[in-house]
Amino acid sequence: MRRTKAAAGLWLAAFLAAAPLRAAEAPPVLFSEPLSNRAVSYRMEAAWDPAAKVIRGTEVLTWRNTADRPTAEAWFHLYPNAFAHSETVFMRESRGGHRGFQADEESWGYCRLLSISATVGDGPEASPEAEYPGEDRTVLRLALPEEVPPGGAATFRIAFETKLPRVFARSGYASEFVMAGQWFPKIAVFEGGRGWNCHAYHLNSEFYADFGVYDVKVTVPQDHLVGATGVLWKEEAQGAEKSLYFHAEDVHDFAWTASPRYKVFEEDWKGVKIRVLMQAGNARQGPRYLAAVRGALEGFDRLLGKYPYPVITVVDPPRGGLGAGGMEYPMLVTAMSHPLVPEDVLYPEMVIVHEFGHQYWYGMSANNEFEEAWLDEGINSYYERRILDDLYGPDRSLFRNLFGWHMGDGDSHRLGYLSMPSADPVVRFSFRYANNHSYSVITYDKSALVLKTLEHRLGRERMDAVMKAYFARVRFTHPTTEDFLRIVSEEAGEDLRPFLSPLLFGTGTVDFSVLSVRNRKASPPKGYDLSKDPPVPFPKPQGEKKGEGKKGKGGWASEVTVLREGQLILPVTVRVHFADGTKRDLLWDGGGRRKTFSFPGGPKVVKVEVDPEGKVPLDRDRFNNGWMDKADKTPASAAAGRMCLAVQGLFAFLASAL
Amino acid sequence: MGFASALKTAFSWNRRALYAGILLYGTTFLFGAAALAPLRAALHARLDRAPAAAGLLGGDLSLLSEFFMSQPGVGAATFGAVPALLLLFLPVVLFLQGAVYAQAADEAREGTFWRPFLEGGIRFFLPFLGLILLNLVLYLLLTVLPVLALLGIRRGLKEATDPRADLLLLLLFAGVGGLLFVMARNGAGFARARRALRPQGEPLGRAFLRSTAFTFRRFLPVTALGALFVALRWAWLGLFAFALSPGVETPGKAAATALLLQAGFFGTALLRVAEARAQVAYLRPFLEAEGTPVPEPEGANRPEEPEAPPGPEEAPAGAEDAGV
Repeated sequence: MRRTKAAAGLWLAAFLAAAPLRAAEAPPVLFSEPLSNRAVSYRMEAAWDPAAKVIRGTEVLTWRNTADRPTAEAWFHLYPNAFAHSETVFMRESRGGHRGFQADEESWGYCRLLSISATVGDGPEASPEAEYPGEDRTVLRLALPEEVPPGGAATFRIAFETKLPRVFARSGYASEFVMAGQWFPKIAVFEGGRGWNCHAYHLNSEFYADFGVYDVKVTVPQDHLVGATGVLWKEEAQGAEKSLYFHAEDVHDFAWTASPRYKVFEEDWKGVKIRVLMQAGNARQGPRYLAAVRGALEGFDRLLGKYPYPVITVVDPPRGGLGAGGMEYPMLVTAMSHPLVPEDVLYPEMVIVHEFGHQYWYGMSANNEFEEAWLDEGINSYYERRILDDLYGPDRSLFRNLFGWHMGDGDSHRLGYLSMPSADPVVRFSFRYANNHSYSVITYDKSALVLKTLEHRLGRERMDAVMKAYFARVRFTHPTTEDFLRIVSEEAGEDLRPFLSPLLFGTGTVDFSVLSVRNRKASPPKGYDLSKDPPVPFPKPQGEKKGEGKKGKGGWASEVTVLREGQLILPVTVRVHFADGTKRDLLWDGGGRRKTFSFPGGPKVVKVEVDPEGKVPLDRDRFNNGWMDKADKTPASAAAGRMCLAVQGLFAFLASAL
Repeated sequence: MGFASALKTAFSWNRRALYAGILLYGTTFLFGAAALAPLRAALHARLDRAPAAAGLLGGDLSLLSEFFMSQPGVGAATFGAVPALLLLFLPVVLFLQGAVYAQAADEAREGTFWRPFLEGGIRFFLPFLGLILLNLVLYLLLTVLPVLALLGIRRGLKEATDPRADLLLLLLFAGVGGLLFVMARNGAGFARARRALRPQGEPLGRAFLRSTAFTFRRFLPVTALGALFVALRWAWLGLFAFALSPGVETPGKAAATALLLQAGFFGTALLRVAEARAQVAYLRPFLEAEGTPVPEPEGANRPEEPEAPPGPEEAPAGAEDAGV
């Protein structure tokens, strides 16, 4: 305990003695004109102590009030405190588990503030009063010495120590590997009338922060390779350690990673440096990673616009550190793979394309992930599917060949959605979802399917134009769902709220089905004609003999009734096939519970398909969407045949094992 | 008789061995079909008139998954019946294997296929059950140590960050597990072979101990023999189920695939019979060396039987056992 205090004291002395970055050595300028409002400017130093698993850091933060009203407070996120003990909000909600990875009960984490001072404008430096207003210590409130007016600024000098846990949820260490995400005291977003937006760190939520400039010096052992947000502009050795200087502009977070076991794969794509930090033992998958990043860069460039930063770093977490995988930070993403993942299983590619997509949806279109996570996760999942489908084919963009079976990325969204389609609406605070599964399938999968439904509604070309325009208008801002509805309506030239609102704000579902098909021989009326007085029998057609009608002369009177169950009202196409080989596509607006289509005097109806092109991916059951006059036993036999290998194989195995 | 001779005997097919293989295959087929029946019926009821089902022909995994998600009862019905069928299958297969080993031990016996086959199945059912249970207990005990060692290695690799550590663990688990599996099968197989060769000679416990001692004493050839048959079965099934399979995209291809799969299962049944014969053939000379009287192999010189007086074509009941 005393040794810790002495070390902290030495560290503080060093911090006070030297400015975090010497003014004489200026970092490069990445953008001649700021791309964002740059509300924050962080100058930080982070020294990694690999033995203690501690980052000793200093931070000089200049925060500018970009809202329209003053504030006398400043709220900060201290995310590492989520891992301080078993009773934090995160640990209670997660029960120590995250995406299948378990916390190590011998390894906890925290962010300890060693000193903090605040200066408002040109005022004197003061030690602000600090309190933790939330359920745990992931949220800190500082009372400022005076109000910061709109347009005014405050500067905070903080010395801190972040102890990282063994990684199971995004940030932490695994042996010599370290992934430092959300590692420093991070100021929340001041929203004027709504006050400070600063939620506790929950299981089902990610992050929200202002754009700005980051200058960070990272000190690690000499043999460690480092990847980080920003560009590396200076490196200096100091005995057994080295310091690397990173600079980033117009980003809202800074993450870094280090390990002595990285093998670097690099490539240039139209001026963007792709840097893949692979585990040496997984190096064979390096080319897969590079190809996926390249495909993602090309796809997002084509669909949304240029990736503006000069570097993208992709991190391959090690064995034991996969809890850090599948995460996005500005200019740096973590993937997830293993040497055992075969080439035909495109899970690593999916993760890379998804996480890279977050450079657009989260990185640049920086919505509040605590409150409206669908705006990044959902929209990004839609683009993930688009790009993977383009790269690998729509029906096999996740599994190309798994013992003869295949699956597309979009199919996985649909399966996820079907597993829990209606417990929560899309627009909901992340931590208020029924559970982690509902958060996952609604925020990612249903949202992606909603956008697919919108694409079918608008047509792909128009959808692409609308979304590209939406992105251009919201990039480097904090868009909300309201912004989304307004802008896409404006860009589409029609009010899309009536169409989108039930999908985003409601929990309704839809299931189209063929209720009945009736084929009746069309024949002249028989019996009495009541239009005559007294009634007279209808005349018998000339030459009709018994049984002639069955041969089909005179055609068929057919009726097809389609049913819509569930609360969602969506337009759908009904394709009717006739015995003569012709077919008709009929549009039903989905209004009412059912719709009957009549076909008098034509050929017999032999097949009906509701939504034949799968344009309603939210339909809960595809198998009741059709009807065929003539049964086709082949698909069922084929499926049963494939299952036979497993079932009969079990008995054969037992017979041979005994 | 050595390793090669045992293999030669195993693959010298005769009518009885072939019939035994057919019976073994037929049983697995029937049980497999019974287990699959609820699923097959549900698939046909739901999909035969559903245009969307066509995607299943191309191997659309999402469609199959959706089918099970939309029919939660089907999976439960199918896989719920499997444990009960497996319980029923165990005594049946035990009976069949009793017959297979009895037949392998007494290849020279003349007469019809059915009677000695059924007699062997009945006679050895209980002894074989006892031997398998003894073997199970032995190998459960023998497995404890390697499992503890492997768990220790896994724990020791907790800090390893190289993903290849998982490959090492996988290889270790597969290697040790595979070896134990082959050894356990050999233990049960040679115990049954010994019992079949000496049906009355020694108490069950002693027979098991001697047989186990034999498999450890002759570890290399015995393990190689067992491993060879395991490998042959997987290779055979893999060849017919995957390598030769033309897919299921059309009715013709689906039918061909189904037939090839059954050919694969039939081959594995034949190999199981061949393995029993190899075990018996390998063990026989060692028992003879012990001075133990054992039934003679097929083709051996048999003492001339007294000339039977001319009579009706069919021998009287029990005559088949005379002289064996």
